[in-house]
Amino acid sequence: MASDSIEIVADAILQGISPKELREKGWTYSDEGVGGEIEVIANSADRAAEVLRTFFPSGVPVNSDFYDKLSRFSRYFGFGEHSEKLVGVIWAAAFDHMTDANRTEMLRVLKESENLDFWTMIRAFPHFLPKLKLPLSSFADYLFEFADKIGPDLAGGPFFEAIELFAYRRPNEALEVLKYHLDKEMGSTRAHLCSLILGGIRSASRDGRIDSGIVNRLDDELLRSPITQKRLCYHGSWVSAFRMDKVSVEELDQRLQQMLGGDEKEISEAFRSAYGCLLGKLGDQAFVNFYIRWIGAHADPSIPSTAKYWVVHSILSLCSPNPGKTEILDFKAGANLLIRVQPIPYDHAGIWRDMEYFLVDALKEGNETFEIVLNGMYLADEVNLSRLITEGKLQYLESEMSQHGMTQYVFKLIVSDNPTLRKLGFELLRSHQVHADVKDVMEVVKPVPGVLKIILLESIRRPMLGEDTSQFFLALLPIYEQCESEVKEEFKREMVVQGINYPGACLSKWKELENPSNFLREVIERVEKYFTNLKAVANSPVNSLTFPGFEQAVERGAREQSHAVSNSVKQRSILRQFATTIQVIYGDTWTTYVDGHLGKPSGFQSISHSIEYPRIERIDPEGMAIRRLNAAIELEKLVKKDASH
Amino acid sequence: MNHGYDQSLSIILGLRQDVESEGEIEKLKKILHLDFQAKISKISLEEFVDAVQGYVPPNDIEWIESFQRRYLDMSKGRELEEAMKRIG
Repeated sequence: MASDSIEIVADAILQGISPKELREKGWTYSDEGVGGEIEVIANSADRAAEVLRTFFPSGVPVNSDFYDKLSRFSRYFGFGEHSEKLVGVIWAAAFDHMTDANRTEMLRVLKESENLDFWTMIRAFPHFLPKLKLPLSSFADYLFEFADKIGPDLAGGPFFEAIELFAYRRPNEALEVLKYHLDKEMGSTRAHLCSLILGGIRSASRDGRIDSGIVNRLDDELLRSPITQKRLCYHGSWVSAFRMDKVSVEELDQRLQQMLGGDEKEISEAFRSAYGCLLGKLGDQAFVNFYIRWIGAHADPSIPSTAKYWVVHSILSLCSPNPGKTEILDFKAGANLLIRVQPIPYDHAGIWRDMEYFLVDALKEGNETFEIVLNGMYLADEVNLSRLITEGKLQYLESEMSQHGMTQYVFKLIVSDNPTLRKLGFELLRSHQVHADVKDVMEVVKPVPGVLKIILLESIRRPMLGEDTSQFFLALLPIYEQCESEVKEEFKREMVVQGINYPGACLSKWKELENPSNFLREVIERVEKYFTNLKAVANSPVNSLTFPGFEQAVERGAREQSHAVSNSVKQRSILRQFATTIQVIYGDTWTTYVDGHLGKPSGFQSISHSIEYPRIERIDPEGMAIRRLNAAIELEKLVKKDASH
Repeated sequence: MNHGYDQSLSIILGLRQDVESEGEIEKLKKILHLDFQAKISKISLEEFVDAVQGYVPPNDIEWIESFQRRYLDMSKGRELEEAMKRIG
């Protein structure tokens, strides 16, 4: 058996010995030892040739077996720096001994074969690509084809890093590759590729590895180009050079300023570039401070949506780092920066997803932080945020909120002086994120007639479904009972209305309560009197009173409502979106017919969910609309009255 | 006959200003048998509300008053319409 770790593992791979079996035979390795062995292979062609001979005794195969064997190293040495470097170094050494035709064929195999561990090889690219030799056009075309295959997949990072390294180490060849691509049609992939190459060449010129005059002439040509993608290629190259520590923060600031003076895509590129630079500098407080100042100075509602995405995404990274790491930016400060870029269009799901994550992280930080953040965001973009909450689009946030005590927060919103925040309070209450607990409510809501009047009017203006309504009134009941004023009677009348409106969720629930107060008892009596009177007139001839078209209108209304409910259920049900709907005309069983065989019949299974419909909305929709409008008018008058005092 | 009554009358309720319906009812009467001509008539909503208000006991008057406010008090309707435009 060979003496060093790499040869032992190469031998084990050849003989089909698994990592576990090898360990059982007493094999161990140290990171330091393996690191040293890799360095020797990387710096000695003879040693590299020896390893290749051990690994491929019959010669290096020009097919997928090569990659298959090579990628197995990570199973023995783990997925990390050592395996990546080892694979890259052996890969480069093997290519050194091949003809151009074989190298080209091997790259084709890697790109096209679907049975390879493609991403292991991609991770090894930084140790392979800077040493790769191919004729210009093949080399340039393969770079583009790999970039195109990787696309926006974040796992492709090492490949793009490899391009920068190649351009830095071999700037003159990189210049030829760059010119080759600049003469081709410039799409976003090619522009990205060119920006990385130019970034590497720029870095090399800063170290005197290539004439800086060449880079200046290229810069001038690209910056003056009427083709946006070429200008983006120039702008993006500064990120690469900055990442390679060849550009100062001051110079970066000037370049970002230059981008901000361009068109919409260039402005977005400025924000993307700033974020790209931040990624490698999260541990550098001075740069983080620069970034935050820069965002604070340039992020505003008028920037393009893509730029908003980078702002939101970067704030999320700064405020919500990976588990175990401390936040770099305080949530409240982060929220202030997010608020600067609002409003965010409703249909920009990617930005809203990050906003939702930010809100969830703020919630985990503490209720006080969450309240400040959500209030600020809602005040800044009421229209879109309100729509997302009421349409149930923030389900992750909803689920997290339901696990935190939100009653006090929601009732603080409901009694707020600000009508927009009151609206948010009712929306949160309606979206089932809050369980109205009496004790918590009493901490927040004081029996002040003016405040109670506002709550009552808001509840009329923004009605809730049955169970929420019942819970809402029961939570507030002890507070209204303490208040000796007209509003107490109004609250009682409203409870009666809701008892009639929801005889199941309200009346029945209230009747089940032990030791109801006199106030509640009176409410129940009044509601029951209504239903008793209703029964008495059920067969009265007055029920024949109608108007032309009424029956048809009722029938049509019911049909339209049924369609609306059905569509709404379909939109919200993942299952319904996957499955096909089949209308069953008769029968109560189903079966399948596959490959000429009829299966056994099975009975239908039914799943249902019922919700109580508000009676009065059905009986007198116009009257309920007028009630809501009257409540809004009264609220408006109250606000004006308060403002004049 | 429904509800166990021997006789019935058809009453058309309409706004006082709705003169068109009066003309239609007169045309209908002309084609009805003589015995049925007196069984259909129009009463204006305004008269109806006034009459009911005169007979309903004070404890039960709220419904007819709210009917009057909602359907016959045009100033209230205009006020609501303006508020709707303002508040949205």
